[in-house]
Amino acid sequence: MRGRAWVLGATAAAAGSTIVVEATIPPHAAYPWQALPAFDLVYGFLGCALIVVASKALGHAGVQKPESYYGDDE
Amino acid sequence: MTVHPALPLLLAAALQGVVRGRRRGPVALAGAFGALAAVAGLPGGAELHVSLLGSELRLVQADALARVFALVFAAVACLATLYALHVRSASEHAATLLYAGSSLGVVLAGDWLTLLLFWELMAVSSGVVVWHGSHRRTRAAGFRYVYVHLGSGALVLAGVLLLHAAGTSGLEAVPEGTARWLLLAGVAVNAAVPPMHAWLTDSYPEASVTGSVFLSAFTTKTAVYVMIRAFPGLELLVWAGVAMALYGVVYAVLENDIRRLLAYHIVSQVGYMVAGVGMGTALSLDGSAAHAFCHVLYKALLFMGAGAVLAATGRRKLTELGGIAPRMKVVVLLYMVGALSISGMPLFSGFVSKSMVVSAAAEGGRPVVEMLLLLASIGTFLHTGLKLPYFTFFGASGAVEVRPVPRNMLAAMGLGAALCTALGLAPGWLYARLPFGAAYEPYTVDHVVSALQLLLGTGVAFALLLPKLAGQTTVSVDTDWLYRRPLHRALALAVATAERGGATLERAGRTLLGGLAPLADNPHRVLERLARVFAGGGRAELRDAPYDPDRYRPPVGVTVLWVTAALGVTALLLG
Repeated sequence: MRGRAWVLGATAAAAGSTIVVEATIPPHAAYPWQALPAFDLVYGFLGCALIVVASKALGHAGVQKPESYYGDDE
Repeated sequence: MTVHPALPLLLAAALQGVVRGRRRGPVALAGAFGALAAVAGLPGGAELHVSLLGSELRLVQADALARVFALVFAAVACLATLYALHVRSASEHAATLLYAGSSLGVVLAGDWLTLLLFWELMAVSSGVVVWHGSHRRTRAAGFRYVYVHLGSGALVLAGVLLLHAAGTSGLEAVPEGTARWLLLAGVAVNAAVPPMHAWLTDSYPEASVTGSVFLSAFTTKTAVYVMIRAFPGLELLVWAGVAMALYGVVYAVLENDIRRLLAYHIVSQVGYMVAGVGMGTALSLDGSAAHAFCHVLYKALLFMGAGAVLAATGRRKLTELGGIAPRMKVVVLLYMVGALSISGMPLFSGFVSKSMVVSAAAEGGRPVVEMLLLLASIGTFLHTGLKLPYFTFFGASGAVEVRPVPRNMLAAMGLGAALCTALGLAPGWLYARLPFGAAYEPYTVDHVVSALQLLLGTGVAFALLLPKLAGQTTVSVDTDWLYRRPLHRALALAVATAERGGATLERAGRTLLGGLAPLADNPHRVLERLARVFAGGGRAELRDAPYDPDRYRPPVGVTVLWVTAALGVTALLLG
């Protein structure tokens, strides 16, 4: 638990640091959404959640099969 | 004098049949380092030609693109051979050396015919590498691998023949036409473009611990090399690449086998390279070449890490692993260098190459492509940098026995990790060797901040979704289902039908022969009886007449007369 708290604290500190640095550098956005504060942080979080949820849904929709699915070949 | 860099590898492969036991590894390693020295010594623009059956083969045409691929191929051959130094099998060493040598032959070839020869040699030798796995699935997976690559080789052969018929032999952008589509289809199979990718995720995890390191390096990257040569700027490839990048990460979520998870990430990472080829700008093409260079090294390192786990524990599934980090600290550390490299962490190699392709998409006014490639990058960190190491090394501790990992395996991993870090710290060395001359600076503040935020956001989501990401004892149905289920069953049905038909024909033949056999007992008798029937003797007489063998036997005197006459005639003729 102590290790987990340490990792979460370090992650939060690093994320905060990047937001501060981002606010201090001249804007460099090719597209409007990239100018939003902490855009990549949010995109990373939501993107990760999307990948997990979509993949799991795909798995439950029939992609995942028992290990013996291919018989002796498996 | 130009020495073909494949030559030391081929010689070392041949020597495997001569040297015995512990000497095989060092001989193989000498061959790999010989190849690296030969590549390093290739002068810019070096050429090597030979004549074969009336055709001029350009075995070496060392321009910048060929040299950068040849350099990383030779380097990874050294790393992988060092990793396999303890292997005693002559055939496995010979196959891996032949595979590495033929891959060098492909990227150094100066014409399509030479490329094709090495391409086919690569397919056969890599199939033999797969067969050296010890898992019970290896044999069948190896056959599927070979069948798919024979098919892709046939497509490339057809394309090359059409190009030759049109008078084109040099390796340049292929003009519109049938040859282009045939070549593209054949090369796309080797690049593992979905839906033609399943050979990779099916076979690589079944190879030996050491063989899978070689497999991770060559086949898909030779295909990327050919794509850069033949199809730069083909728009179709942009979307094929994006689809690959996402396909691999989606399937990796569902994967329980650690080497299959890494194999899905080969599909994903090669997607960046294919997309870069499709964009066709100097930055994107250099990005594809640079990412291939970095990918070969960090993916080999990741497969070495997974192989070390397999060698130490005998286990390959997330559900069977966990809690082994305290007993495999060095492996964890070196694996994480590969994981951070593939994830695009600043200061590691993937960051300096992957960001080139993503930046090329941004500069090319392709926001959707850019965002989707970033999404795939999130998935890469999720699986390779978080899920796999967490559930393999740090997850719930089971009763997993951990044996020592051979030192040569750790040394190879150490060298691979050093190269991944060096490329991340000093990307200028790699950029100076890229063929299209794009100017690119990866370490701008916004690039670094963007990359770190992306990784941190992914890390937070991973921590929250951890229970959903644990391995499950399932297999994922992929496109290989088509030839492992319906096609397999159709073939089995065809074979069973043919067997039943053959048995029926055999029975009919026996019945017929059984009916005819009495007739063959004594043809004289049959003819006589037939004559009687036709002369009106009647069927009853034919059936009931007692058998008299003397009736059909000529007298001895007649036989003597015929023999005497024959001898007399012969004597007259010869006299």
